Amino acid sequence: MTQPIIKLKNLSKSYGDAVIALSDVSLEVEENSIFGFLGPNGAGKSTTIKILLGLTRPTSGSATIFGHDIRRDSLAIRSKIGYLPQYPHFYDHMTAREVLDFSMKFYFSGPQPLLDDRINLLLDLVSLSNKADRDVKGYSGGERQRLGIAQAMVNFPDLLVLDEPASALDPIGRKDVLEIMEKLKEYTTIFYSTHILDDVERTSDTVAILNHGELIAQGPIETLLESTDGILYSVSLSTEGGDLTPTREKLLTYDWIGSIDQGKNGDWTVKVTDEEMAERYLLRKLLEDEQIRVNQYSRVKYDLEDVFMRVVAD
Amino acid sequence: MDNSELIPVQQAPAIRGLSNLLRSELKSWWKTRKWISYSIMWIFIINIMVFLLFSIDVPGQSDSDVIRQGVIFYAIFAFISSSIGVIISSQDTIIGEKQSGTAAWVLSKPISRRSFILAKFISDFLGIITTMIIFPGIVVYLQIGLLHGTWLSIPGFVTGLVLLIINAVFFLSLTMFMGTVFDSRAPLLGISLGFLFGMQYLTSIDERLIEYIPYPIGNPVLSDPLIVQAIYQESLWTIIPLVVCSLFAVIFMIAAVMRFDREEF
Repeated sequence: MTQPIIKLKNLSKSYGDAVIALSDVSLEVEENSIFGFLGPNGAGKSTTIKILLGLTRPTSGSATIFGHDIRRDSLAIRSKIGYLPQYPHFYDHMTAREVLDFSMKFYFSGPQPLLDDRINLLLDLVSLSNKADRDVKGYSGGERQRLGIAQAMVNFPDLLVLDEPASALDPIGRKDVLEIMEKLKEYTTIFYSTHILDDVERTSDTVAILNHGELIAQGPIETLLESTDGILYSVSLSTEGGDLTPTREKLLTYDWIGSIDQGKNGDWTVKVTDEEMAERYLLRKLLEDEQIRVNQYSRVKYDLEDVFMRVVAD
Repeated sequence: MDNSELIPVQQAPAIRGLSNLLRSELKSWWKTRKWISYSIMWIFIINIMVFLLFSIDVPGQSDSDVIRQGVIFYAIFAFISSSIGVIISSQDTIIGEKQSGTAAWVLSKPISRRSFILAKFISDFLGIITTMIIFPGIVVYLQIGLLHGTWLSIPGFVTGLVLLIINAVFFLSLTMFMGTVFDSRAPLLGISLGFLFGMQYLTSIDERLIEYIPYPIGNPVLSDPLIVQAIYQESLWTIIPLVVCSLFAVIFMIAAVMRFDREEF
């Protein structure tokens, strides 16, 4: 079993009495996972990340990263982390190569040829080799973001913390960044915040949903997509006689079928309690009656947007 | 992906990152056009003014009187212009980085906040004293020597520049401290410039206060400005402003480090 790299326990942050940015947030991030920290703007995602990096102090609660306490051992933690801010800003007088060299020298003092090799490797990874010696002040948003990822990777961190890595980008820039994240997945644990559901669904193993500073759902993405209403099948039937009641009553006699709801269009939503039995027998049972035609049959799959909208609305 | 062949940085936690930050800050002064543009600007401002003042022909004055008068004008003008220059040029040192987000980015690296402040202070100190005090000072020295044929004592002139530097350090540390306290430039500029221009009025509260502020370093109070007395290698009528400036510079820097340690991003 893998060890949690990040452990938050009842972490809270408030600004005076009026503003509660985080309230009793507890979560664990396991090693070698891509952890999507999801929530609408202002939910407290960036605050959580800043607390982890020692940029902001929690009001109460505790947190550890690699077993180090975030208040006492922030320097040790930051030695093993790479961080991409939500809006990456670098010194304008530096080129991309200088930004990476500057970042690298907080961790390593040499040898310079190996440092240069790594800089070239990272520039390649984020496709900035051809612009490496231009001042960053002329960079586009997407280029800055890619440079941000490269500078976060200079120490080959055990944990990569990305704050909204793709939210400010156009579709092509977003695609590039997500592809880079997928490439990095095999080398490091990634903890990233976003409000873009598609990105999380595409890249994450585990998700936590934050709203108004409170953690309202968390777990592996498959579990989150399936869990809320159990296992459901959507079935569209028709019969020459027009009466499906006998079929419905017959199905309800099986103990692995929990309920059958009929929608406005006449389609059924069948809730089952035993996934394996349903996969094996549900369709067979429907087809037993030769008068019935099965027009449509599928397992109901939620997408993250459904889950997100539901838990945020609650 | 491993780091085994690289040499990890070994520095005491309190000054972790200082050498790298300092290298970068110094680069921003000396490997860009900043130092050239600052030098030209301050030489132009100070030395044109001094040249004009030395050119005023007052009947009946001896050459040495003319030179002393010119040195007094230089002391007054260099004092006020370098003080303003320090405040204006260092107002963004901390606030600019807080506003742009570069401070949060840099502080996410394994560095101490003390290193961040110290690197800024050291590089601004070197950049400012060189471009605003030393270069224009050298030109003034040459102006006097070449135009009037009188070469002032080099140790005396250097001591005069040191006094100007003490004053500049006072305003630099004050401005940096204000930069850690405020998130916008307006209160920083208001307080720093307000203090600079309001100093002389403190004497209306109690005239003994004049010795406890930087004012006499570059302004005639009871006697010639301290800078002038130093240049002519005369006994200083008081050293209290120098002690107070140095002491407050240290206090402001300690306060800046402590305040920045509490800063949230």
